[in-house]
Amino acid sequence: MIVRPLRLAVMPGPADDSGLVVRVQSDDEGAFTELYLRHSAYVARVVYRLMGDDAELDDIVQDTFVDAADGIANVHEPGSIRRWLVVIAVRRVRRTLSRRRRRRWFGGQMADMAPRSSDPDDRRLVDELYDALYRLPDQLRIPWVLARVEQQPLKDVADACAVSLATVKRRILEADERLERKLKDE
Amino acid sequence: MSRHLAAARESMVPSWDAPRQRRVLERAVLARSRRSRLWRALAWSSAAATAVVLVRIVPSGIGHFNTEPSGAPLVQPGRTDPSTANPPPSFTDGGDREG
Repeated sequence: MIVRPLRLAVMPGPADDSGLVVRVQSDDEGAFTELYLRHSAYVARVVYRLMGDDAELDDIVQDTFVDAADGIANVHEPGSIRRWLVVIAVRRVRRTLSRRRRRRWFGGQMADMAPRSSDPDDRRLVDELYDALYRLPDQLRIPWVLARVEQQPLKDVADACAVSLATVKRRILEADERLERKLKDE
Repeated sequence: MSRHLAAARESMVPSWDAPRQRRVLERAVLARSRRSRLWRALAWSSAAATAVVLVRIVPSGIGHFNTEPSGAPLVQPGRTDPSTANPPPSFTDGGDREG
């Protein structure tokens, strides 16, 4: 009961983000660091869940914030910076996943794609889920993870995947069906 | 699938501790300055290339087309128009006249 108000007091809101983004836009290096410290854990979690492992987590988070700093002048809604960071992170994840697929196609590298769960009891379930997810195309996997695991609103998922709301709903449903089938088989 | 989802939500959290966060930040700051240096170098070299084009090529190019003011005569004073000095043989004079 006490935790929620405390967390709300500690967690920065969109209003704080607006001022921070304006400062980053005016090349304030300290503001960039602050933006990173405020949102990097969240971005890291989203990326980790999308990738299923943390083999390239540092690189993706780093590139996400470098891209964000480069493009921050174009941000028109500073209050929704977190959503915008996810859009950039998803773009980076998609590139990394397709690079992995190419690498796997040529060399066969499944070892570094094994998901890691912090809780050994959940390990089997998470492994099964991510094994099934690896077999899905990225265009189904990414919206599914954002909507079902990360529990983001569908509108945000559509924005992150740069597709319409109708398309993202259709893709999530298709991923639901395929995953359901695969998990039943196992 | 709900059990799988619950397990993923519960346990799929990266170990994003302070040293790791700091390390990635340092790399990001470094990458950012490296990228901005690269962009600055590209901007300078393209500006230099444009300046070279403007200084060397453009004036001579313009000179070929427009060295004289628009009202200047086509034949310079004191020179004979080559077309009147050596007129070509005309088919109307029966070919008597040399060109």
